[in-house]
Amino acid sequence: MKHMLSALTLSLGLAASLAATSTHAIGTNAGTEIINSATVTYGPSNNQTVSDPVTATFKVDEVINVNVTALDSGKNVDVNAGDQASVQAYSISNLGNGNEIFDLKQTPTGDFTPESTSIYYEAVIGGNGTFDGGEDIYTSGSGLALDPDQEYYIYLVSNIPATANVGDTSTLTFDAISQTDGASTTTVGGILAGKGTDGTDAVVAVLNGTASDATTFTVKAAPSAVVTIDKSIVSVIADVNGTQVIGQYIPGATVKYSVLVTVTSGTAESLEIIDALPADVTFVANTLVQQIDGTGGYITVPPANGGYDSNTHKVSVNFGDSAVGTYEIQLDATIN
Amino acid sequence: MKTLIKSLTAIALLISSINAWSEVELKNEAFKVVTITSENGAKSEQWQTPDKMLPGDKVGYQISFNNTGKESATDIVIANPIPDNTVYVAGSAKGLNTDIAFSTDGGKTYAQPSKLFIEKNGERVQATAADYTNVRWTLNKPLAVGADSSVQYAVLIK
Repeated sequence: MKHMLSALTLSLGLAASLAATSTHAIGTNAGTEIINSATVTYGPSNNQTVSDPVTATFKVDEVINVNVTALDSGKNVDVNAGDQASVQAYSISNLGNGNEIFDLKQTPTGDFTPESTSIYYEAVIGGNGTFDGGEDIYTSGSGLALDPDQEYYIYLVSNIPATANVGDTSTLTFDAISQTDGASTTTVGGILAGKGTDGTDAVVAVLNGTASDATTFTVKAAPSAVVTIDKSIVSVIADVNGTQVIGQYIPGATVKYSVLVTVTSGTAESLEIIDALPADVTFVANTLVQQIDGTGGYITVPPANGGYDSNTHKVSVNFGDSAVGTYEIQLDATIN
Repeated sequence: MKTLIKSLTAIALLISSINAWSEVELKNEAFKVVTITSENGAKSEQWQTPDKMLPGDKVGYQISFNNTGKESATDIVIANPIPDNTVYVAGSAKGLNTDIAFSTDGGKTYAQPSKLFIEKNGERVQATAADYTNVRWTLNKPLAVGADSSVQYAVLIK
């Protein structure tokens, strides 16, 4: 029993000492030979002898330890539904004393599942900490090798589903998992005999050889759309005693108006174009048409979407929630 | 360790051909120094067979020597550089009937800890255990024929 007790104390002591060093990578690289070399000199004094060095040698074993830290403020990234390439940033560092290969993976939980999530990596030394296309994409299962003390930035890049609602959250958990045989199922202080650098033993200093952190996407209301509006006259045509007169604003002339709305960013919710006609023109029935994004030709505005209101002398057309693009209506009116 | 002893024997044979009077054999062993907490909470150190040697671990070295010659050996001096990638543990060097001295200059000069100084930022300061480069034991008694003894010290793996 006593033997078991001391063994228990020992393993706890090992775990404690490993935990105490978990914030810094530790010293001598695994596989390094520590060579102690002693010599003896002896007499009698008239015949001194110096021995050759006698050595005691062992190899430093490997500690498997890794840290992952979420870098985004408050471990949160605000997004809008439909956002493309929303980025979460992490860092990974090898706190062990051997070159170690880690598999990288991410797991979503929450109100929605981010789409097409890819993992990118960039060495901290020489990197800029910002996802800008200069990174390498990680292939699942391929493993990222880190020397002792080496650090990488990791970027999880996802699309946010267009169907996500304001207030929804989704959390990505990012894991770096040691690929040393058995490490992923070993508790702190566990030993993987012969699995370390150069055949040394590997001692697992982080549960399951895995470091994790998580960041949440929070869906915010889309920013107000930026919309510009432009009203113009397309043509003025008058029929003077059977002759077409173009470009003269004379009574009886038909003026073709265009109102063009451009959404340059965001989504214009319930975009409605309302055109108050001048007092001294008369709307020409059945001339109200619309065209979206400048393609597909002008079509008659469906009555459900709007039309001319003789009471207000206004034309209104509702385009609904309108993404970036152009929305145009045209109508004819005659000069009284 | 076995091969060490073999090579030691080879060395000893070589030595015996030169020196017929006395013959001192050396043995150098490394141990993992583990702190054991007993059931009543008392802590003690135990030297164990080296296993899972990690940065931060304490390593004990025992250098044993015996006189396999036909005459007593005098003026015995054991010299031992502190291994690379390790740091001497203050106060750990021991040896019965020995004077223990340390070097901070790779073994050119030796002195007692209180008399060891180094230059740091242009100032002469007391050397600390981390500055030691070598440890040396000088036996102040001859070693009789057939007698054996040992010295010890400890380091931390960087």
